[in-house]
Amino acid sequence: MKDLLRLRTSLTEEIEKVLNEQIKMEADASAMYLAMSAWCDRNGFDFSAGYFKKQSDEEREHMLRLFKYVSDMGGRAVSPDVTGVQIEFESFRSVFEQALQQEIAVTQSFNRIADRCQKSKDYVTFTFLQWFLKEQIEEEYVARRALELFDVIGEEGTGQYEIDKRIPKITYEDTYEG
Amino acid sequence: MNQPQVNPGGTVQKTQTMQEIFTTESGAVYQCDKRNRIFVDFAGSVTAYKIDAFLRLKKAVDSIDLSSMANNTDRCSDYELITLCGCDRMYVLSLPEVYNFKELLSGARFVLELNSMLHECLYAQVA
Ligand SMILES: [Fe+2]
Ligand SMILES: [Fe+2]
Repeated sequence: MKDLLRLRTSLTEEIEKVLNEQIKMEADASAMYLAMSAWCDRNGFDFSAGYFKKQSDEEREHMLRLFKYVSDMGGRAVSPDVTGVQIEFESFRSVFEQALQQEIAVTQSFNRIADRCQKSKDYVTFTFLQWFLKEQIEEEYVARRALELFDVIGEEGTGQYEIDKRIPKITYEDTYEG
Repeated sequence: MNQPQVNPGGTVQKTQTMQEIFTTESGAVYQCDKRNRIFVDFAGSVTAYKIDAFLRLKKAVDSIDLSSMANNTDRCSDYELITLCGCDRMYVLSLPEVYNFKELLSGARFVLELNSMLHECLYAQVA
């Protein structure tokens, strides 16, 4: 008797499910960053608005990367519904706090998926995940650095203006010298 | 193309490539290796599903809440309507039928999984 399950896809139902959940998480993150961009824009934080717009695009790229993988493996990739996106934020600083929290949640989620892959001995997906695990180092670094500017520069006087100006200049150097 | 092979009596015409994978008192599930289809014999008719559709069918049936069906006194909750996107077959099932359907599908799903594991083991032996 043929193995119809395996002929359909090399992904188990469980792994297909968690990957689809991650697709949704990236879509949510993309929408959240876009909302942050809009908030910054209407509150006069021009550079931060651009920074969050770029982040939003990146999260969509992440979503598509996962989406392609599930499809390529014969799985059923689900275009997620994104609803109830936040519109208002407490303060300039809280936007960045939330951004960092989101990135931490994403890192933890990828860790859990990697764990599931190991448990079910799916080393193909495990290898695919490496790109994301590495990417999260940079994502968390940048988000953390941005938040630190609030303490380093201070929000008083022209502080917020200075912080905003420095945001897009944060870069992650993937070298020992950096 | 999705039409099952049925004789006038409504039962599955056994072919050599078709194998029974799970049977209960209320129905049976077969696999056809020639056409890569799963045949579900339940509630008086036989329907052919691609493996993907079969899994979606199982998911749809599993998501039915039996206890809320039992506790709800509304007339409309006496029967459950099961439709699957892309499939013509529609099921209208009473509570015990849903229960039996769940049992049949999950049994069949288990055998598919077991077959998958056997395949993996056998190939590992050959390698
Ligand atoms: Fe991401
Ligand atoms: Fe991110």
